[in-house]
Amino acid sequence: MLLRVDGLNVFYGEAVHALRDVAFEVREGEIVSIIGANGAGKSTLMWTLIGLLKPKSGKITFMDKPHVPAPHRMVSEGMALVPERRRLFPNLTVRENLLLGTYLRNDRAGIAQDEEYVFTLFPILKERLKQYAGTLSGGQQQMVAIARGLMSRPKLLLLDEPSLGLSPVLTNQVFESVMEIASKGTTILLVEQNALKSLKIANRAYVLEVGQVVREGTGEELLNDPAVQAAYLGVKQHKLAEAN
Amino acid sequence: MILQTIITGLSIGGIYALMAVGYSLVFSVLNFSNFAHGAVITLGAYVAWAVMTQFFQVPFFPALVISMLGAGIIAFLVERIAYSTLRHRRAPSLYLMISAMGVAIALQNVLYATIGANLYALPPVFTQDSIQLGSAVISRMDIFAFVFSIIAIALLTLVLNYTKVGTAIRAASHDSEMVSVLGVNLDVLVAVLFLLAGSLGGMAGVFMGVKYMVYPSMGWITNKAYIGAVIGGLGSLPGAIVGGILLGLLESIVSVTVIGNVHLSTYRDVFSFGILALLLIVRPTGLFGRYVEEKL
Amino acid sequence: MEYAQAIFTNSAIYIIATMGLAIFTGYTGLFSLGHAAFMAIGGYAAAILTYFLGWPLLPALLISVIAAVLVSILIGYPTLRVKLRSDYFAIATLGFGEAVKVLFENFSLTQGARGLPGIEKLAGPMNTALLMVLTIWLCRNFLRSNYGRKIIAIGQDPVAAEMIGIKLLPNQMLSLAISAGFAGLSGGLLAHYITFIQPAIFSMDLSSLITAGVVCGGMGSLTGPFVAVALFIVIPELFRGLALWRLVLYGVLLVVIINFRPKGLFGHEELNLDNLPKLFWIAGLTVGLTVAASFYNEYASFWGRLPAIAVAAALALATTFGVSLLGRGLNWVFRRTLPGVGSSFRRTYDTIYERFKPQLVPVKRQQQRMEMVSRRAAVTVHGQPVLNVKNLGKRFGGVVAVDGLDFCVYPGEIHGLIGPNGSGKTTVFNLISGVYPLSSGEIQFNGDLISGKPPTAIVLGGISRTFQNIRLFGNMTVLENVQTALHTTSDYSLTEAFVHWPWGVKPTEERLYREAFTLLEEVGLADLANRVANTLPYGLQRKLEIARALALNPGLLLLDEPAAGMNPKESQDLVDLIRKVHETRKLTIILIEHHMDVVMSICDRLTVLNFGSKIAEGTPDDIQNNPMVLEAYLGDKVDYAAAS
Repeated sequence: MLLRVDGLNVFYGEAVHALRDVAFEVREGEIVSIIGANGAGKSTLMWTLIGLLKPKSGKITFMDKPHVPAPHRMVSEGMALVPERRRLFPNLTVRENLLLGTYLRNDRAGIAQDEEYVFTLFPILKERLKQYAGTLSGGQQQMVAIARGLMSRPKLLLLDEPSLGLSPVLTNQVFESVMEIASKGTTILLVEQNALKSLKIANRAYVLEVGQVVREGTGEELLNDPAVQAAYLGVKQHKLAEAN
Repeated sequence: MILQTIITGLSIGGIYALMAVGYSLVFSVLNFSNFAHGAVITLGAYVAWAVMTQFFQVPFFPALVISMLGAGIIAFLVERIAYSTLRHRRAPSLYLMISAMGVAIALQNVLYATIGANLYALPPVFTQDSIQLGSAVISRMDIFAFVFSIIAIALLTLVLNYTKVGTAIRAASHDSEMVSVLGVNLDVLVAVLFLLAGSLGGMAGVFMGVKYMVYPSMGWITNKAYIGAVIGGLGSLPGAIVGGILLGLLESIVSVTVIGNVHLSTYRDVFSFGILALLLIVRPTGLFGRYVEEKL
Repeated sequence: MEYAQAIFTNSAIYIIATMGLAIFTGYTGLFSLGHAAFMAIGGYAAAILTYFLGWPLLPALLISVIAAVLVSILIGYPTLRVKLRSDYFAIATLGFGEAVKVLFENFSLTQGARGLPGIEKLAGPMNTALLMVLTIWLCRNFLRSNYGRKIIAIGQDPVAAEMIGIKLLPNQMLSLAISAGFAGLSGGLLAHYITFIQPAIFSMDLSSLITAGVVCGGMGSLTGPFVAVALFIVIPELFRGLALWRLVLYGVLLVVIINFRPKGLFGHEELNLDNLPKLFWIAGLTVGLTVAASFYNEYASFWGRLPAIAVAAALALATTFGVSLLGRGLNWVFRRTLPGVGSSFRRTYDTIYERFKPQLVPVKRQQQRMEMVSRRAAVTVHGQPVLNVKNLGKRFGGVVAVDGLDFCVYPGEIHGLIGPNGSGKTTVFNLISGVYPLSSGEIQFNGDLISGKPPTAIVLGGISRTFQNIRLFGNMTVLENVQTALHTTSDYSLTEAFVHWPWGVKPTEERLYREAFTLLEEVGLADLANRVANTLPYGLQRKLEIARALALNPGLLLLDEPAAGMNPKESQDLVDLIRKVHETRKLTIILIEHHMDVVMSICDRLTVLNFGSKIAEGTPDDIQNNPMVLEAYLGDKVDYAAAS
């Protein structure tokens, strides 16, 4: 078991109970999707896993070790987060952005190797190394963000809304890259508003609703679950209802 | 006369720049004005005074290094004691500012209460300070201070641009949370930040001490450096340098100007604050500052 | 005794300045390091009048206040206009303080830096105390008025305040002017109490003393700063030998309090029955220390140090204990008697109020104000769109957030604005409500061009909104949040607010209370009227935000993801609420929402955005059958084909 979360409760301030008794697990080599509406607590979950938010209660174990709510500890344990809205450093070049992904590493050879690896994933980045990240297009920025996450050679990559603000073509490309990364052995926990696509590539998935896990199953099962279709496949379900 | 004014202006401007850089570094990452910086600079000058005249009769250069280190460590301790709790609690930047002001008031008055209000001179660096250049008499110390300030700032720029920690600091000036998500221990990064800011401040303090005197309220001068940083745009390093030097030059020009029979030097400080007020009205972000629109 | 009087008078003088600053720094969160300059202006103005012209004290003090207020307008307008960060404002006021000092140092009439001795001693404990009480009463009245609520609202969330039509600049300037006025008064008194003024008295240390008082006492309270400044003046007097350490103490206190008690001694609270024992405890400690210190000074030389210290400490403990016990006792007594006294007082007050009501209540003025407000929502010409957005565009740097957007909203419809995350919906709201300037295009509301107007004008013109990330006035109660938003229907003047003129303030405040309560009933929050807003659960905070937006009696309501973070039951409740509000008020609504069930069930028409442009428009049925929309949401044409 790579990641196991049990009875996780997270609060914002005193009144807002963002995650309620959340429990789930991620096994080595899987792609696990978490879907849910805006405000369901998906990003909160990601920030808690990377260690930036302190849970009020609950147990998280990562690689059989207890979780420490400090990002630099979790990164050195092998987690990496590609956050919502990418959060690149626009005042730094692409290369410097990637370099910061390797902050805790000192093995020059390994870093060079990983750089080659992300260039095979996203060849365009090689041409843009000296450009400031703020000048890239949305799709390229997302590539840099994912590449930056990979540069720490994580065992578990947390991806928060990688398709946000991307056109359908680019969204498809991003999902293809995600599958490729998974095939190279990196486990992936994916949070997406694009429920359909993320369920399609997921081995397993969870549905988060107002801070609670309300459904879980394989990607296939959830795709065919009428309740999930009604709530998360958006406009499509009305179409389906008519078709039936 | 003009040359002399310019050299004096450059030297005080260089010192302002050293201090302003400290303000800007801290501001860029933590987004608050560290009003305790002045007290740290004063303490740096006192460290030099102590090791040069009171205890070991240390020569100038080792004393400079010692007081840079001392001021750096003091700045670091101030951060640990007065800011880190607030930082971890994500308190609004106003709180950090109030805390900084508390530190400034406390440290300055500790000096009054212990060492006293006396003015102390640091031993001169050059036995023969003035050099004749045509009709102008120029202070060696002025040139020395300016050159050294520039070198120190250049070194800082190298550190920021070509080391991992420096890159992380620049990144943190945009998004410190994201920097920590990439595995950077923010506490360590902030410690480095305060060490850098403090030691540059210590250097400025020593130069101030040699040029003028060492006394508890000498930190007041840092308000001018702060103005320099604001003129350049708080949080911008080139802004701090340009703003500091510009203010130094303007001040030294104002100091020698006489209109009618009023010596403007009396109103030099009013003039600096006037420039600040004017600038804030015309361009609140400063010359090099950036304006960030709030996300609703 | 004389010594005690001196301490008392000194405290009272500084408390006057602090009360004023509490209204400025305490409520707006803007930090001033230059209030000593206002004291200097007041002090010099009054001193010149009495010394050179032989004026009596009171008129001279009046001129002090006026002078300080005028200067505050001069300094406040340029600095507050540009919405400076609080750091910049602090340094600007610091500069102002220094500049004033330098000017007085070079002012020959008052002998420059040497100072002006021999001012007549016109201020004493009695008149100072009276003025202090007057100050506190005025400040309290002000804060409880409509004007005070506006300033409190700005301090808690300036953006939200603007979005309910509160103009920042005039209100912040008002609060600065009030603080300057009281600082001027305090300066005038100081000059006539110590009979000597020189610029050095009004240094930055003095400014930081009163600022420290406000922060340590509690920002958002009058009681707290009162107590804190009294302590700051009294305690160091007790330890005269440690005079040099006094400022060190302020500094350390600032750091300690802001780190460990960020809300200060009293937080947002004023004195009430619950914190009365705390006040007595603090007072007891002070008295205890006083007794101990004077005992030590008297007897240390006879008894030797150690025994004197021991006895002094015992005395201090005993006194502290005794006084705080007294506080508890009083608390016990008050709990039983005060309600009775209070209600009989209120009865008398009401009798007097009712007696003069017919003659003194300005009915006509109220009616005029109400008409003005109700006229706001009424204009809806049939057939003509309420909102007409033409070729709207917005760029942030190089990023195009909204691009050539056209859409219309017709009277009485609920218009949905949908699209994937990041498609520019909230930006559209920000453009309509004037938060962002437009890059291109124009927006018309009821046929009038509103683009380019300031946000407050747009809100008061009849467009109110809620926020994606809820923005309430967190430390106010639920009721106060709504009362604040009713500010436009208030009709009493600032002077009436200051003296709490019953026949001006009372009828209006009662009406505001009733209206706010009715609004809370409408959204179902009446039971929670006195809860502090940020202790409400998420779903209820959203409802409160809607109630606050409705308080402005809008013609068009913009709701930004009201159902975000709600479970199905809560979002069903919300749908019912929106429907009800829509029907009873004949309100036009634009709704941004991701919950498709919500959108499809209540919207009459939808506009679909993607990448800042409109990709479809029509009824919910049309939209569900539109392949472009499916593509935008699902990112795949193949899926659509497969599904159908």
